[in-house]
Parts: sequence; C-alpha cells; structure tokens
Amino acid sequence: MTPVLSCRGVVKTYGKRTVLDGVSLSVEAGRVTGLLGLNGAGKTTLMRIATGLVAPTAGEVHVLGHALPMRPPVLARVGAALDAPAFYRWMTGRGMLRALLDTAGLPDEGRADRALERVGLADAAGRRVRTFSQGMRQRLAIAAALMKEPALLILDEPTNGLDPAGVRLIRGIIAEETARGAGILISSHQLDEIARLCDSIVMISQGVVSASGTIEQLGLGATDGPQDLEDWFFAQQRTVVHTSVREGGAA
Amino acid sequence: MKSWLRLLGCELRRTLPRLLPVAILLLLTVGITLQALNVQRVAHNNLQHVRLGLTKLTPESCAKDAANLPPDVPAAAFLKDCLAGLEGTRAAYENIEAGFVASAEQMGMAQHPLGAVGWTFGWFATAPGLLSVLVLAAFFTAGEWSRGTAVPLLLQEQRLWRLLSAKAAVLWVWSLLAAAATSAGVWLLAVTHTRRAFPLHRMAAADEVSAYTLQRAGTGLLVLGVACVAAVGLAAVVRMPLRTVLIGVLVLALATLPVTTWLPGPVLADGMGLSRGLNVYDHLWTSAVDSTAPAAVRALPWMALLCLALWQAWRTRPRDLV
Repeated sequence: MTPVLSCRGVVKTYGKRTVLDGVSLSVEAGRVTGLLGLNGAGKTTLMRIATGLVAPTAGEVHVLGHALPMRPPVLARVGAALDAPAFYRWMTGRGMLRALLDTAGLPDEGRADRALERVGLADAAGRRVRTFSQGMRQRLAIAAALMKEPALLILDEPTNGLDPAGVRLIRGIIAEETARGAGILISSHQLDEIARLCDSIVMISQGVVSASGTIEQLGLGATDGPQDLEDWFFAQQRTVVHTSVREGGAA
Repeated sequence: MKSWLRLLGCELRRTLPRLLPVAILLLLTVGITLQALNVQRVAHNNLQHVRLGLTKLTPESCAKDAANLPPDVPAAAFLKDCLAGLEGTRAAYENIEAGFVASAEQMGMAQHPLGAVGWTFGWFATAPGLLSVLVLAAFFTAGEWSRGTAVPLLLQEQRLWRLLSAKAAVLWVWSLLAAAATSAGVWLLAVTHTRRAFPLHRMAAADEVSAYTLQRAGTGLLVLGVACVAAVGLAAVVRMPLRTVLIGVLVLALATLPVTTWLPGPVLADGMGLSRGLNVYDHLWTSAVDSTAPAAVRALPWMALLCLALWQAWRTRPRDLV
C-alpha cells in the first residue's frame, strides 16, 4: 500500500542545533500512526515538516506520493491541527472556516457547517472566536483540518484542553476518518489515548526515532514485556538516556 | 489570476472589519483635511498681512509716524531716515509677497476639484501616508506570524508570494480609498468654506491644475504601490510588528538624508514635484535637492534593487514558512 506520508532520513537543524536527525516514518491510508516523545523531542517540528510549513534541512518527504513543496491539489487533501491553534479573533467560527476554505480555493458547499457539527461547535458557529474557550479553539482547529475531507490528517496533541466529552468525540472522529480511508499522524502525551487509537507507534527521542512498530510488535501486555504503553514509553526513555550517557562517556 | 483575485477578496474581507486600519486611515483623512483648512487660512492671512504692510509703506505713513513720536525723539531725523529707507523696505516686502503668492498658488490647488486630488497625494505619498502603510503592513503581515494566525492560513495556501502580493494589493487599495475620501473632503471643505473665507490669489488655469494633479497623483499612485510592496515584504521577512515599524522608520529616515540627490527621498520629492520650503503646507517630506538627472532616471537603481531583492528572496526561499 502506498503511504500517504513518507519521511526518509529527515534532518532539521536551526543553526548548530539539530532538532531532527535522520527521522524516517510512514503513515498508511486508513491507519493511525502515533508519534510519541518528551517535550522538545522534535514531534512538532516533524509535523510542521510534514505539512510543508517547515523545510527539512535534508532528507525526503513525500505527501500523497508527491515530494515537498506541496502543490495546491496535494495541499487540498491534507488537513492539520497543529499545536496552540490561533485564529482571527474577530471572526465567527463559521466565518473563520469559510475564510480558510476561500484561501484554499475550495468551495464551501456546507463543508464549514458540517465540520463544525462534527466537532460539536454547531451551536457556537455564529460566535466570535474571541469568546471561545481553549477547548473550543482546539475543536475549531480540528474542524478546519476535517473540512477538506483529507487523505492525510495530522493532529498535534488534538485532545489538549478538551473535556472528557471532547476527547470521546475526537476518538470517534478519528475512527470515522480512518474508516473513510484517511491516514492519520497523531501526537499526544496521553499515552492511554495513543494506545487506544493507534495502529502503530513511532517514538522520537532527542531528534531520532528510538523505537517504532505496531502495537503488537511492541509486545504490550506480554509476560516478559511492558504491561502498557506508559511502561514501554519510560523503558524506551531509560534506554535512550543510558545510550546517550554511554556515548557521551566514550566520547 | 482568478484564484489570486479570490485571495484578494479574502484579504479585503479579513481587514475590512478591523478597527486599526479604519482608525489609521480615518485619522489620516481627518488630519489631512484639517491641515488643508489650516494651511489655506495661513496662506491667506500671510498674503493679507504683507499686502496690508505694503499699503502702509508710503511717504504719508512716514510723516504720520513722525508726527506721533514721543517728544524726546527728533521727528525730522526720523522722517528723513524713514523716507530714505522706504524703497528698500518696499522691495523687501515685495519679495516676501512674491513668496507668499507662490505658496498661495500651491494652496489654491486644494480649492479646485481636480487640484484637491493632487494636493492630497502630496500627503499620502510622503511621510504621513508612508508611515501609515508601514504600520498597517506591520499589523496585517508581520502580525500574522506574531499572533500565530499565519499557521492556519499557510496550511491552506503555501505559495507565500500569492498571499503577500494579495496583502500588498489590499493595502494599496485601502490607501487609495483613503486618498479618494480625503480628496473629496478637501474639495468639499473648499466649496463650503475655504474658497469664500480664504480666497487665495487666483484660481489656477485648468491646464495648470491638470499638470499638477497628473504629476502628483500619477507619481503618488506609483510611490504608494512600491511602498505597499516594500512594507509587506519587510514585514514578511521581519515577522514582528514593532520591529518592522522600527526598521521601516529607520529606512525612511535614511532615504531622506540630504546627502545626495540619488537617495530615494530626493527622487520622490522631485518625482512628485514637491515644492521646496512648503513641506508642512502641502506635503511632509524633506525638500528636493537640485539635480541634473531626471527623477525617473534616479529612481531606476532603487527599483532595480527592490526587484532584485524580491527576485532573490523568491528564488532562494531560504526560510521556513512559520
């Protein structure tokens, strides 16, 4: 199956600081890939590269089979909700989505209202964004990603600021999107959520992929393996720290 | 082209309900219209006063003044001095009058429906207009990055040049709308008040007014267009509103240094036909400096430099979008 997102040997440096160092991963259609890592590991940078907002210093990125930079027909099939969503505060929720559709060159044809309905913002569609809570802005960002009916959906900590009902709603949306055939790349610090949603996991530590595989391959719950994703996550972190210390000592 | 026009429409709708552009452009419109009232009054009063002074420069007025002197001042000597200096004083007054007449003729343009457009561009295409363009570009372009709203926008359209050119075009349209409103205000003021209250020397002939307006408005349109492109480009590179304004002000200050006629400031002054010595009467800019080369020729290197910078930025695209 052709992956909807494929990254090979992606490197990103800012000056002398290397944020990503040879990261490779792929996201397949109809599957959910979870991106894990501590703060500053490089998850958001990778997601920004995958959405074309940030240019990789080296490596290859293919979105829907096309290399970056993304041309409009490709971009029209990519939806993303990145961290700390910001919108025009003076616009209404509906107006904001319509403005984004306009910018993308896509006709509304009820897309904005359908997306607002899906994220539970139908009643607030006519309210100005400035009156939205953090959770509502998060939902609006997800609505903006969904309204393009994307083939690739990138969600950076989508449940941030959401109440339990919102978390359940997002879970349902992700299931619907994968059933529709969209490939999803998601990052979250809520490990139980990732374990529940994802078909495969990629762990990034200090800019490199330290582990990856399907949930089955990780061996969660096996007698000699980690009992859950949290155990696995911290076991991976310890491995990375020990390796770094050894490499540092050897150097 | 159609999709670019759609982006233009998007940008217009985005900026339309914002208080800042409305406030800045309203302030500019009201300020320049009030300035029109003020300078016409000043020009009229100056002319009145100097002409009144001239009517008093007669042998009779010398005799009258001599008759009214205190008893301890010798009247005969005063009268002799007064009569001897009369011609010199009259010549000095006539010289001043000629300057005031020249000013009055320039201010008189603001009392003409077409001339009001040219007079208005004297303000919009110099410091007040250029600073307004800079502030608006900083808010609407650099602000997209500092507020984080560039992210959802660039997730929909990643051809930055299209977004930025739409922003520059909208800024230009806003400036022209404000200039049109100001021109109408200045002319309305003339019709309702200043023509009657402050008659200025004479009404200029139609061909004089046309030439004046063509030069000012024609060059002004171009200057504002270039300013909008440069300000939006600067804001997109700097990506911080306050820093954009500070750098822009510094660039404007450097451009107007009176060191060589080849700097953009003197080129603009000559290109617009700004009157020297009238820089608070009908524009706000440094005075033109004498040059043998036409302004259009002197503008070429700067236009080439701007084009080269834009081309280089487009070709290399060295930075991340956010």
